[in-house]
Amino acid sequence: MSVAAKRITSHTTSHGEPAATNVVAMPSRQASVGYAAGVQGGDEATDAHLLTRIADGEAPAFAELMQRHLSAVLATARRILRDDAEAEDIAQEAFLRLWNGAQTLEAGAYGMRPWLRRVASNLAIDWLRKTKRFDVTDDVPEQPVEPGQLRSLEASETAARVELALASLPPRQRIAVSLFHFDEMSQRDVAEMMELSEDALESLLARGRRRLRDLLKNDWQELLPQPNNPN
Amino acid sequence: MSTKPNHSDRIADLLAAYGSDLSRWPEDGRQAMAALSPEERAARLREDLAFDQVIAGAVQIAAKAPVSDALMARILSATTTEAERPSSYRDDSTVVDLRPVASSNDIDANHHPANRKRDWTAAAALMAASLVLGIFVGSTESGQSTAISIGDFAGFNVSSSAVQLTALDEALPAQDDEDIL
Repeated sequence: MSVAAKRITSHTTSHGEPAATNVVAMPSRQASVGYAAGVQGGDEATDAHLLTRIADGEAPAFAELMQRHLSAVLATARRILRDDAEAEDIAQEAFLRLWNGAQTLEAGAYGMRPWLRRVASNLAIDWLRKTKRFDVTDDVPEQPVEPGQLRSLEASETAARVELALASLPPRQRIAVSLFHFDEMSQRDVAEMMELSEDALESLLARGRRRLRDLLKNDWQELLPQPNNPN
Repeated sequence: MSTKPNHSDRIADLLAAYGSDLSRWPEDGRQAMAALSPEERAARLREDLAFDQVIAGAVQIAAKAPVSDALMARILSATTTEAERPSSYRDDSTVVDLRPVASSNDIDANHHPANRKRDWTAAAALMAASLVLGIFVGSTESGQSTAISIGDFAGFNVSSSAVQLTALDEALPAQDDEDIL
């Protein structure tokens, strides 16, 4: 493939348009997590630099990029699939596409992670469809989460409680909430991936998020500012 | 939607769906929120800000979870194997997804990575044995743990004889020919 092949940005929409909404939606959270532009430390190469080296066939650069983003991509796939082995396969496929397509890709403002997550999400949803696990309706009952199941974890394991609560949602709610709230994809992108209207997505998100809020009430309520004590 | 109670309902629905980051709200919702006093706005957002903080914490922890050496080695091995495939299998349409969205034909049961992984298990072990010597990035300790993991996941000792490795290597191209993405 020619190096002069058409280059795209990693935050391009599925239609190939500049995804202004993606850029806006990318979050303060992503910056706070420390991978804006894919830089995790002052001395480390940016994702853009690594991508250039990957395009030249440098496996060490690819390994470094994987070290940087594999966990996040794996978490994205795992939330959608609820199956560790399948999530690993999907993560592998996403990274292979990066490796094979490095000459045609360009790191965006937030590095390669958004692109990798998007590819993994699409592959995971596609795989659910092919294995008949992507429900057409949302009538699938929630997986019951015993209150004790959540409480049994230590307070420091809030993250585990969040993942457990998310996993208990009906599949379509889980996927919608995961893509929009956990991976911070845009409403339009999520609706497109799930083949839903934006209104239908809004409804799914509202139901899923309300349920999640309810399940995790103890965790977020702890963060609320305490009312002023008159004494 | 022009009356105040409806505005309030709409705001509640939008908060439920989109959370506390108003930049992610539809325009009509942002306008409804902007019509509120700062105090009222803060009160409406208070709980969802806390909830979003909990989610953000979980996302951050998941993104920093330790990376599996075995999985990294497996992926590295797969890239090397792919690079060795005949060039006809590496054209734009099959290998590179220019759009970051997979079409329904991008992955099917025959070519799903779950199946490909099985085809490549032997190749992964072969490539990993060489990769850990020079390619793998990381400290000496992580390199050592990778070598152990590779042996574990491949189901045989990395120090297999050269004769065995060569025999396996010769058997691989036939598998790869069927392994078109």
